[in-house]
Amino acid sequence: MIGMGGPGLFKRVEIPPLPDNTPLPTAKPYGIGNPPYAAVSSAGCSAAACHGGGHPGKLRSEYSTWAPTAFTGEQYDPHAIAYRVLFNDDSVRIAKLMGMGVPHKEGLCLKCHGTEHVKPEEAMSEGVGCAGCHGPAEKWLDVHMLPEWQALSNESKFKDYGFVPTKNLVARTMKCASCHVGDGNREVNHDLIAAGHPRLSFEYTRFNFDPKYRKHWEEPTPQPDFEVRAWTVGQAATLRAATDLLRVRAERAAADDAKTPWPEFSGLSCYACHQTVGTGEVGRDSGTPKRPLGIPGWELWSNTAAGVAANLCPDAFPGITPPELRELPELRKLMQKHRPDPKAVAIRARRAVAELDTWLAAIQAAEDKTPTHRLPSDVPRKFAHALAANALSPDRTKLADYDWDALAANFLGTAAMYHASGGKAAVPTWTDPIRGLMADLEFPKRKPGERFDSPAGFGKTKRDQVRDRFRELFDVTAVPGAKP
Amino acid sequence: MRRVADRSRMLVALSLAAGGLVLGLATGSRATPGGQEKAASSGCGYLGKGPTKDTAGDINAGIQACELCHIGSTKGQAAKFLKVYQSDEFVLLNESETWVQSDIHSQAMKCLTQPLGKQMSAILKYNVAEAPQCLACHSVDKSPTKPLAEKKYKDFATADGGVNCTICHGLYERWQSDHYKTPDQEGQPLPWRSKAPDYKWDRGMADLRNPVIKAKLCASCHIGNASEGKVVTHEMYAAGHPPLPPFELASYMEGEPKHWAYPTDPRLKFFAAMPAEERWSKFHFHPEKDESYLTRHYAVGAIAALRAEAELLLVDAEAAAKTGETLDFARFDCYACHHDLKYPSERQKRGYEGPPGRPTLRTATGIPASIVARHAEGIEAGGLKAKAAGFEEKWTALRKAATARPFGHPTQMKETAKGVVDWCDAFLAVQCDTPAPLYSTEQAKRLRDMISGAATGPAALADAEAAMSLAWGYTTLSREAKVAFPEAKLKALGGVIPLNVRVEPYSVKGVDSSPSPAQFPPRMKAINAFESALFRDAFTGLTNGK
Repeated sequence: MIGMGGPGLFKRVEIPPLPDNTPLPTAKPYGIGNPPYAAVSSAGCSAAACHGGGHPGKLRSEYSTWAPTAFTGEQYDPHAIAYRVLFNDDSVRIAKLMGMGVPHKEGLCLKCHGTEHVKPEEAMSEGVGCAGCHGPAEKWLDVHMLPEWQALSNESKFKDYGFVPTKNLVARTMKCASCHVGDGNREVNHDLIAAGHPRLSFEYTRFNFDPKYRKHWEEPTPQPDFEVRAWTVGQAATLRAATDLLRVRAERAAADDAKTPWPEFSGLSCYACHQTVGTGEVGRDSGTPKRPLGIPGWELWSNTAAGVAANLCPDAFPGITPPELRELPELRKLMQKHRPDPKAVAIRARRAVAELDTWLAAIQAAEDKTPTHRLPSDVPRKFAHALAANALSPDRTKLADYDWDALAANFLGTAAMYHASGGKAAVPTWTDPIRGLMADLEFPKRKPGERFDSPAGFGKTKRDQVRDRFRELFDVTAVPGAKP
Repeated sequence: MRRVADRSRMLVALSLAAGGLVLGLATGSRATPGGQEKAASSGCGYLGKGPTKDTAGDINAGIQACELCHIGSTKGQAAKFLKVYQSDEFVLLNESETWVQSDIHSQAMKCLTQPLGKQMSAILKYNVAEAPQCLACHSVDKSPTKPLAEKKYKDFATADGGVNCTICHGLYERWQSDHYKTPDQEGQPLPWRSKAPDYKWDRGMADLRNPVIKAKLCASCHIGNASEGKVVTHEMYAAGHPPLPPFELASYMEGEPKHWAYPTDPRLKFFAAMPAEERWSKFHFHPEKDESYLTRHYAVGAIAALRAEAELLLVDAEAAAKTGETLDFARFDCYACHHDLKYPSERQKRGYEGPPGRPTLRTATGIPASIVARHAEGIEAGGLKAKAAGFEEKWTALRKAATARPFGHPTQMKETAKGVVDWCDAFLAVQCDTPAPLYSTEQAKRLRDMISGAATGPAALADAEAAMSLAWGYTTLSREAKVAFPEAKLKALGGVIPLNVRVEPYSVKGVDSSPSPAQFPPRMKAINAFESALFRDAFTGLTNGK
C-alpha cells in the first residue's frame, strides 16, 4: 500500500497469459454424465425372483436390503428416503428462503433427491432408486440377466446400454460425486446452503463404511486393498467433480449468467469464514499455508489429500505412474482472490479436468483388469504416514494448513487406512492419535434437537492438539527401525 | 506476491479517493483544516476555507506545551488563567491529565508495538508500527495534504501515544500561541474564546463543538476514511486486527473519560452567560430546555457513521469496478460470514433480505441511521423533514446492490453508495446550518421510543452489533433524560451484551501493554453467543421498568 517501498511494489501482479493452446491429454474415463435413455422405476427391479427376494443382506435381495421396511429402527439405504425428506420442515423452509415452490416439485431439488422418469405415484417409495446409481434401464433391463451381458466390457455396458458399472470404483465414485459433489446439471451452491441445505463433504470411504448405510452388495476386493484403492479413487473422482463444477460455474459467470453467483462460496472452505472471530487467535499461528491472508482456500476439502493419492497411486494400483497434475496448482492460484477472473478460471479448470480425466482413465483401466495379486500389507501404513506428513509443515513444528477442511481431509485419509488395516487389533499404536483427531475435529455437541454445523471453538488449543496427533501418527506409521 | 497484490488493490482504492473522484468530502473529517478538499455547498461552509499549507511543527513539543496549562486547574500555568481569566468557566483545564491517565486513545501506538502488533507485523510481513496504513489511525498525520501514495513513516508523529491532542483539535503550530494570548486591556476576557469557528479553523483549530465536525472526525477512524488512508482491510483483520466495534457517538462521548464538559454543563458559566444568538453561531448548542444535546449527537453520529461507511463502499466499488474484483470483504458485516453454524438457525428462521448466502452490509451502521432518518421525517425545523425523505429507498438500493452479487455488484454499488453519501451530506448540512433547535424534549423522547421499538419490535434483531448500538444509544439518551433503569434490569441486559464499548473499569495507569487484548474479548464473546430473543427480552425488561 502506501509508503511501502516505492511504486515498483504496487504494480498489480498479472497472471501470465494462459497456455491454453498447448495440447491437452484426451483420455477420458467412461461413466460420466447421464446416459440418454429412459429410467425404469425400482418396481421393475424389485420382483421377488429378481432383486426383491425379501431377505435383506442376501443375494437377490438387493432391493429388499436397500428399501426401508415397516419395522422402525431397522436399517436401510438412506438413498431410499431422499425424496421423502423434501417434505420435512427443513426442506420447506429452504425452498421458501430460496423463493421456490414446494420442494418435492422443484427441479433443482429433484435432480438429486429423485430419480428421473419416475411416475409421481411411485416417487415416494422410489427416492434415489436403482436407476439413480445403476443408470437408466431402458436398454439394459431385458438383457442384463443374459449370459451375453457378462461378456460385455464395462465400457460397453455404459456407452452402449447406459448401465453404470458400479463394480468399477472409478465409474462408481464418479456417479456418487455427480450428486454428492455436483456436476453441470446439479449443484448445491452457497445460496442453498445458507437457506439450510447441509454442505456437501463427500469422501468415498467414509460414506461407504457409514454404519447407517446398509449395503446391498459385497466388494469383490478384500481389505485392505479395497479401501486403499477406494480412498485413492475417491480423491481423484471428488477433485475431478469439484474442478468440473468450478469450470461450469466459471463459464456461466463469465457469460454474466444472472443466476450464477460468483465468487461461489460453496467451493471454498466453509469454516475459514464460518468461525468465531475476535478471539485474539489467528490461524497463521498454527500454520503457514501459501494461500494469501484473509482469502478462503478453494476446495481444500478435495485438494488437500489428493496430492498424496496422486503420488502413491502406483502403490494402490501397481503399474500406474503418478499423474501429472500441473494445471491444478495454477488453478488454485487463480482462485486466491476476492473475485477470481471467471474467464481465466474456466479455461484453467477445463485443462485441470483433462489432466484428472487422464488419471482417472488410467485407474479405471487398472480396475477393470482383475487384480492378480494382493497389495503388500505395508501399503496402508505408507499412505497413513504420507497423509500425516501432508498435514504437517516440512519441519513438523506446525501444521501445513490450519484450515478445518484441510485437516479433516488428511484425517479421513488416515482413518480410512486405519480401518483398512484392521483397526485397533492390527495397528494398536495408531488408535490414540486417530481417535484423538476424530474428537478434536468433531463439531461440539449441543442439547438434543440442536447441533453445530461447524467446528465451533476450533481454535489454537485444538489446532495444537491436532498437530501433536498428526506428529504422533507420523511417528507410529514410520517404517519400523527407519531413521526419523 | 499476494500481499503486494492486496496492497496494490488498496492503493487503487485510495488513489481514487485522493484523486478527488470522490466528491462530497466538503465537511471532511480531518481535524487539521490544512487537509481540506475544496468545499462543496453542504453546510458548515467555512470548513473549506482553510489554508492548504501544512504546518505540523514539532508535535511532541506542541503536546508538552498543551500540558503546561491543561494539566489541572491548580498546576502549572493553569493557576494564572484560572485566577485572571476564569478559564475553568470555559474549559475544565485538566484535559491533558485526563487524557494520559484514563483515555484509551492515548494508548493507540502501544497497540502497534505490543504482542498483538508484533503478531500482525509477523503475519503481514511489514512493521505495523511504521506502516502508514496503520499510523493513519494510530498516530498523527503530519502531512495531511501529501498524496497518500507518497506518505512515509516520517510523515506521522508517533510520540505521545500516537493519538494525542492534535489529532482531534488540529495541528497546533498556527494557533497554539494565539489561543492563550492575553487581552490588551486588563479585565477583558481572553480574545480567542469568542472568535468565530471559521476564524479558529483558518488557523488550524478544529471546531469540535460542532457535532457534525466531531462525528465525522470520530467516524474517520472508527469507521474509516479512504482519502485519509484510514482503512482496515480484511487482510489486517485476518492478521489479528480487533474487529471495530459499532460506532455510536452519544454513548462513546458519555463513555469516554471526559476532558471536556458540554456547554450545557452548569460548571461552564461562560456558556450560560452567553447571548442567545452566539450559542449556535459560535458553539453550536441550545440550552437544555430547547434541545437535547446528546440526542443531536446521536442523530448526527448515526448519519456521519453511515456516510463514512457509504463512502468507503463507494471508493472500494470504484476500485473493484476497475479491477474486476469484488469489494474488500472487510466492507461487509463481519458476522454475516463469521458465525458458528447452528441448527436450528436464527438466520434461517428470520429470513434474508436478499438471496440467502450473500454477505450483507453492516446493520449496526444502517439500522440507527434508518431510525434517525425516519425520526427526521417528523421534524419540520430547518426543512429536515424534506431532506430526510427518500432515505429508505436509497439505503435499500445500496443494500440490494451489495447482495446482487456475492460481495457486491461494483457498478451498482458505486451508484447507490453515491446516493447514500449525497443523502447523508444533505442531512448533515441541515444539522450544520439550521439555527433552530431540532431535538426538543418531545423529539428526544420520540427518538428513544423509536430506538426501543427497533430493538424490541416484531422483526427480530438478529445482529449483535446492531443490538449493542441501539442499546448503547438508548441507555445513554435515557440517562440524559433522567430516565432511571432498575439495576437488576440493566444487569440482565448486560448479561446479553456489554453495556459499554469499553471494558470498565479502565485506567491507563500501570498499563504497560496494549489495551486491546482486554478490550475486545467480552464484546466478541457476546457477539458469538448472541441470541436475538434473549436480547429482546432483556431490552423489553428495561423499558417496562421505567
